[in-house]
This record gives sequence, C-alpha cells and structure tokens, in this order.
Amino acid sequence: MAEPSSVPTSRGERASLAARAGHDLLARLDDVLGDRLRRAAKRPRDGAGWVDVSGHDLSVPRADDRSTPTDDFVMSTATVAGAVGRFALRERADGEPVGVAVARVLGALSDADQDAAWFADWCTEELDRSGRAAVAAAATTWATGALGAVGGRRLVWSTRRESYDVPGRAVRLRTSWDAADHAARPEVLVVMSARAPSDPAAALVAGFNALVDGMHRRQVPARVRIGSASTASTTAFPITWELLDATIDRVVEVVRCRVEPS
Amino acid sequence: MLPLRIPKGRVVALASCERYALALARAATDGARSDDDVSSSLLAGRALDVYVEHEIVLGPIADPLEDLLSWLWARGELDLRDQVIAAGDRLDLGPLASAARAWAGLDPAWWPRTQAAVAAHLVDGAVRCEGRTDVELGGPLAARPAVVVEVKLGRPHPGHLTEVTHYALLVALRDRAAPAAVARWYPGGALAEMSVTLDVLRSAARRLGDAILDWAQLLVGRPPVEHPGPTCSWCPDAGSCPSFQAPPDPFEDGGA
Repeated sequence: MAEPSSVPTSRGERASLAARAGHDLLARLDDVLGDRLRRAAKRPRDGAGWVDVSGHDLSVPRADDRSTPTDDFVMSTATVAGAVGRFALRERADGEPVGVAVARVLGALSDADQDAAWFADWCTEELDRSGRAAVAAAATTWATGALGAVGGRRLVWSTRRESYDVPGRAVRLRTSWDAADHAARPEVLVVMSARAPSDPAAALVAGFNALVDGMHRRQVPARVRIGSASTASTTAFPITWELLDATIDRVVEVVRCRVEPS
Repeated sequence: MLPLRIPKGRVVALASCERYALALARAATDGARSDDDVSSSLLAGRALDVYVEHEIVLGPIADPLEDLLSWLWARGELDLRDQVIAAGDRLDLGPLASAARAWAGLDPAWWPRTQAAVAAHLVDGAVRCEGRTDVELGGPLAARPAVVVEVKLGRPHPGHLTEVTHYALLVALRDRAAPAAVARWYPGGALAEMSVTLDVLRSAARRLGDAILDWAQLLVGRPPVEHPGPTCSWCPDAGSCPSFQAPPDPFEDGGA
C-alpha cells in the first residue's frame, strides 16, 4: 500500500529518510544484481569494472540509452563553464561584477586548489589567450545566469564533485550540485539545469542529488531547487519518500541495464 | 507530448512568410544544409559575434584568423572551425575584427555578458520560446538599467527589429522587469537603439502569440500563407514556391 506523501520537516525525519533510502537502495540492488558487481577490491583508478551513475543517466529516456557515455567527456567551454563559474561565485566579493571575479580566478589558476579547479591544466596548457577568453565569456554568462536564478542570494557555491560508493557493490553514484544554503548540513541544494521547470526529469535530478547528499551526511536535504538561468528562477522539489523511491527505482534500472545490455 | 518550440528565428520567419518558416524548419530537421552550403556570410556573422565577445572579455583581437580558430576550438565548435579554415581568405576577417574595437573599454560595472539564455515557458511548459541574446548589460544584479544588444552583420532589415523587440519581451519575462532599451549594432555603424515601452512589449507579445497559434496550426496541416518578399532570396522552397519573388535587379536603375 502506498504511504501518504508527506514532507519531512525535522532533521530527525530527514535522517530517517536517508537511512531508509540507503537500506532500500542496497536491497533493490541485491534483488537485481545478485552476486554481480560485488565489490572485491578497491576501485581502480580508471573505474574499470564499476558502474557509475550520474544524474544525467537518470534523465535520458531509456536507462540503457546513454547519450553521453562517461568516457566521452571532452573539455570545452560547455563542460567547464559551470565549474569556472561556481569557482568565481565562491571567490566573488560582495557586489563585485561576476565578470571581474571570473577574470580573477582564471588569472590565478596556478595557485588554485586543483580539486576545485580541475580544469586548470586544460586552461593553462592547452588554451591560448583567445581560448581562455572563450572560457571567461562562457563562465561569466553561466555565473550571472546562476546568480540571477537564485535571486542574488548568498549561497555556498560548490566546487566539488560528490560521489557515493554503494557499500559492498562496485557501483558509484556521481553528482555535483551547484550551491547549498550551508556548507555542513544544507537544508537546500541548488542544481542549475537547462531543462524547463516542467520537465519530468527535473524531479529525478532533484531526487538523485538528495539521495547522494543523504548517503553522505546521513540526512537528506529538505529541498532541492532546480535552477534555470533562462527564466531566472528555481523550482523547489521537497524531498519526500515518494521522490526518493522513484529515484532509487531509476538508479537500479540504470545499473541493471549496464550489466544486462540489450 | 513534445513541447511546441518557438525559437526567435521562427517568430521572425513567421512574421515574414509562413511557407518560409516551414521550409526552414524542414531543412533543419532533414539536415538539408550540408557543411559546404554554410555561406560566407553565416561564417562572417559568427566571426563577428566572437570578435565582439573577445573584445568585451579580453580586449583587442591580435590575429583575426588565429584568434577565431582558438575561440572555436575552446568552444568545441570543430565543424565550424573547419569551415572557417576551408573558407580561407574569402571571409575577409580583418575589417570585422577592426569593427569590433567599437566595444573596447566597456565598464565592468555594467556586468557585460554574452550569449545569455532567455526563455518563456508557457502553458505549463507545453510552449517553449527560447533564445540567446548577443550582449546584455546592466539588469537587476548590476543595479543598472538593463540593455540588450544584438550584433548584426549586413544592412539593417525589418526582421532585425522583430528580433530585438522579441528579446525585449523575453528578457522582461525572465527578469520580471523590462529592459530599458534594446539595440542593434552593425559593424561600422551607430547603435540603433530603441526604448522599451509598454507598446513595444505589447506588440512583441501580440507577434509571439500569433506565431504560437500560426505554428500550431501549420503543424497540424493548415496550408501556409505565402508572403513573397526579401526572404524569398534564401528560402529553401525558392525553387518550387509559386509566389517566389526574384530579388530586384541591382542594375534596374539603368546604370549599367
């Protein structure tokens, strides 16, 4: 019987949701995988033998239709603009024009934390001044759009990529949200997306980010907001069991399709 | 059900000729335009956009061809980059790079940004009107009046005015505040500026509403209304359209 939908309000309720989500994720993977993808050793550097699942994988129409395989990642302004933009927003002084902050962080990449500035080598070693200008232009537009979407609010802009390795399984969930209201225990995560707010996949993206965050912090956020630069707005998705349940189903379906390709 | 997509180009095309709008959409779907067909003017238009962005972000172009190629490479626009290389000297990039110097010295306090996304999702997302502005200045975050500038190559055309007023509407919907002005910039020319009044927005909204209705009707089979005019010159249906109107003979004044 379906449980009534309710939005957890207390931290305790959200901790319970995270625990239930973790338990269900393991149980459903057990049902589908059996002894396949048992984790026998440490993850190899190249991830060989593991199944990685990203928020993008959940939003393609069919779980086995990976329009962007993970090994097809190519550096370009399109793929680094968000990372540079978040870095600039994190470093930006109050009232400082975004373009000035972008120029400053791009000019000091050699001193930057390489975990956050993973694009630094590409920018400094493979691009000339015009190539870097293209990055600056794209990052300025991305960051201005993101700031506009959140109404200029003061947020903690994230420069890290988050991943969660499912215990006992060679399965990694990977994501990166763009901002949070607090660094340690966020109530709200913000994920920028080119999707229209009405796109059904937006809910899955929200649920996936809440799931990964919940596994990390043992407490899911209260809400995930999907931000849209083109409409300068965000759409809030309260994190309920129904949303996590649908997200876990989709994660398990993606993993199943990876180990049982059609 | 897929949403009804009404990009800027479709609004402009429908305002010119419905058959032209349908033909453009069909050509895009069929991939009818091969790489070889990309005209020099389209490449030059893209080059001009890049030079303006380059000038705003970094400053002057040092080498028009090499800087353009580097920019396109960084953006991953490799097919376009190949076409620029293939076009060679036909493009005459130097004057475009020089013209873009007009953008030098923009005050960063205006928060200049380029190729910004703007969209209106109507009827719960069933209708999506999306576009990208060439240059935006000011706005709510900058605490200065918002201005939208479209970079245009060639001679001024009524369709360009339709474009900028359409963007005035989309930016007003996005920012919940109308821009103070929209403008067209032509290399070597003055800025063609227009204040965004309520009448401008009303007119753009009426045009967009008409475009949505017309496009929906055309997609379910209403025959297009043909309006011969300047767009006939580059209409994919030029060879078969009974209303085709040849462009005027530039020598018809008897000068040659």
